[in-house]
Amino acid sequence: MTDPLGTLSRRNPVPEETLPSRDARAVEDLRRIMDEPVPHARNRRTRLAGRGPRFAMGAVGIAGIAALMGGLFLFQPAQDGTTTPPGTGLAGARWGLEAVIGVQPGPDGSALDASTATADRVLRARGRDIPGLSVTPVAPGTLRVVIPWGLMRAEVDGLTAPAEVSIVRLSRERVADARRPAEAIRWLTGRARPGAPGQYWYGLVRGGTRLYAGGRTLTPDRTVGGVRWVRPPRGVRVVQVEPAFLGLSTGPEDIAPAYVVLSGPATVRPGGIRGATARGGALRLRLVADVVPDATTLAVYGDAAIGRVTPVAGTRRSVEVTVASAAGVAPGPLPPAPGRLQPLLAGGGLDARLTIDAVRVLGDPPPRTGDRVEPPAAVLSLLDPGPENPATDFALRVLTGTVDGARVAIWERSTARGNRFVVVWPGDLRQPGDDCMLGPRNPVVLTCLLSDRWVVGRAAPSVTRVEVTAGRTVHQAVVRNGWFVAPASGGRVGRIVATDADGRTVGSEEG
Amino acid sequence: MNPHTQRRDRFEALWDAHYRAVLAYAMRRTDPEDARDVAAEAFTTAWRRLDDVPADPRPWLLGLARGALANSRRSSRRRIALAERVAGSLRTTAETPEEHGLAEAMARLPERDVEALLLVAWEGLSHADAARVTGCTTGTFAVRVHRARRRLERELSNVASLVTTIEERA
Repeated sequence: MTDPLGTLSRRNPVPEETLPSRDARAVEDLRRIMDEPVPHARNRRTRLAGRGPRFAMGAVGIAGIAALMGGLFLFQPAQDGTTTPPGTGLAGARWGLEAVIGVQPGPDGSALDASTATADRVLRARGRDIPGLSVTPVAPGTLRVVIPWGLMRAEVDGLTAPAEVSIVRLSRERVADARRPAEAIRWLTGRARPGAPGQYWYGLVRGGTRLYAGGRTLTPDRTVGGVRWVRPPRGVRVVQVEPAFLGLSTGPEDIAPAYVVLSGPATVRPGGIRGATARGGALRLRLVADVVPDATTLAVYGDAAIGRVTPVAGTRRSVEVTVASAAGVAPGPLPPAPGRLQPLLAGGGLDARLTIDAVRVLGDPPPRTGDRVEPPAAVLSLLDPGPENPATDFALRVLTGTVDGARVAIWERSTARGNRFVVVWPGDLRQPGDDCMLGPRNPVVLTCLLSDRWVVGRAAPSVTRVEVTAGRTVHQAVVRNGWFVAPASGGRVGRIVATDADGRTVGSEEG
Repeated sequence: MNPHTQRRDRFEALWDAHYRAVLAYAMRRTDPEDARDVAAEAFTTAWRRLDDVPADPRPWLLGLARGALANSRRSSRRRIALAERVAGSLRTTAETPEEHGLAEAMARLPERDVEALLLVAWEGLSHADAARVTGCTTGTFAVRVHRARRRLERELSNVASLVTTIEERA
């Protein structure tokens, strides 16, 4: 085929000119929209998306670095199967996760009580989209978090993920510029003192174009020189640099990469940030008024990148600034991703370190069952997407069966961001999917993948039979280990009905 | 003319100029009924942010639709993989072995590649406009399309080999 894009263009299934601008439904929508009151400019708010913070940091390219900082890739999913009677904060769910979160005050010297109270507020704000989530102070420096329907430790990781956004006076703190990461690294390592107390690291990520260097202390351990050196993700180098300096990317990596070295403490540390809202391509931070200096020279930095700050509005109690994604200034995960960062900062910045001290499953979770056999290499590569979302558990073949005369198999594996599954069907076609779990909205049956050939989904342990209606045809699904697969032939997929061993309908989903 | 009427007129003009494009974008990616909801949500946001509408509103509106589509998928907890939807659409209209091969190859691509190719091939956007839809720089998008094309060509080659192997075995 000479020009596949040309062929694709010619096979456009919905040409625009075939659609109406104002049919009955469109007119109804138009009227309804224009009947909405016009919002006052200062009251605009951006609606939060979906599940919010649980996987908020997962998609960013720098997640490997974040995992390195928190040792996240060392986490294992909580699957100890502990059964706890109801009444422990599960909010009616049959199972959930209980986590004990440790709070350690940050370098601004906050009291433990104050840091704990701030962490309480921040965790509640981050978890406000999780139905039934509860946060309870247990003691100074300790919080108990319960996530109804939670199963994997990754869900706690999402709440405790660091979002250390700080603000510096760029004009004062910039001590070196570089066009290549190596130049910045040479500058930094040239000032490193071997064996200095407190070890710092830098990483080069993604082909050596993204720089994050210095400024963070690794977790003390009993391994090397009082510092726990964790295995860096692929593509990341770890060396010791001088703690006083911080190297960051400042330009789009694929167009005009640029790097800067900053010196000195942040002008506004995370504790000075009281809240955040995302709007369009910008992140609006609300700052404690008395920590804000000359706003015209500010820059904000997060996990890797730096962005320009624009002052917006101020009162005697707080000042708002907008982190804009100005070209050439804001390359990394911070400014172009306000939607990802905003949930983590919704309750304000947290100048404290959170540790997940314990995680256990409450209630009666569905068992993780299947055949523990080595998957084919091609399947295994899809189940383990790499350092950005590392696998945290072994792969299971959860279903094999003959569907509509063809062999179909489903493989599943836990990753740092949730679960990942791969459906293998005839013709060697493989379709990966992410994060398909039964939950409060779909406790019994849930469709994960719908193609023109197959319907794949999850079913509660009590489900022994799933019927899928496609057009006028009713298909019997193959049900194994909490998964089902059925043909989708016969027309539009409609009702999906799950029944138990006694033939009782225990759940359904509309197509 | 009072400001309220002016606002409504502006919005109706925006609707008439771009509703079909937004609806088509959504219909290529989801069920017709969901597509209507996605288009309505995009225009609801546009109504609330009418003062922010850029001079060339189409990429901006498609970006809003893209976000609404993602929200819709997350909230429904039910998804048809974009690659599989596109492949299904191509299979139903394919007339030649090459077009069947294209369907199978598209089914094997990651969603990001599929979206990049569709913005160019089906939405007919320039790299600059497609970058505005996806919220990245033009350069990044150009690289994304380039890599997607390369992966598509590789998958086309793989599919062709697979077909050859099957035919030989038969």
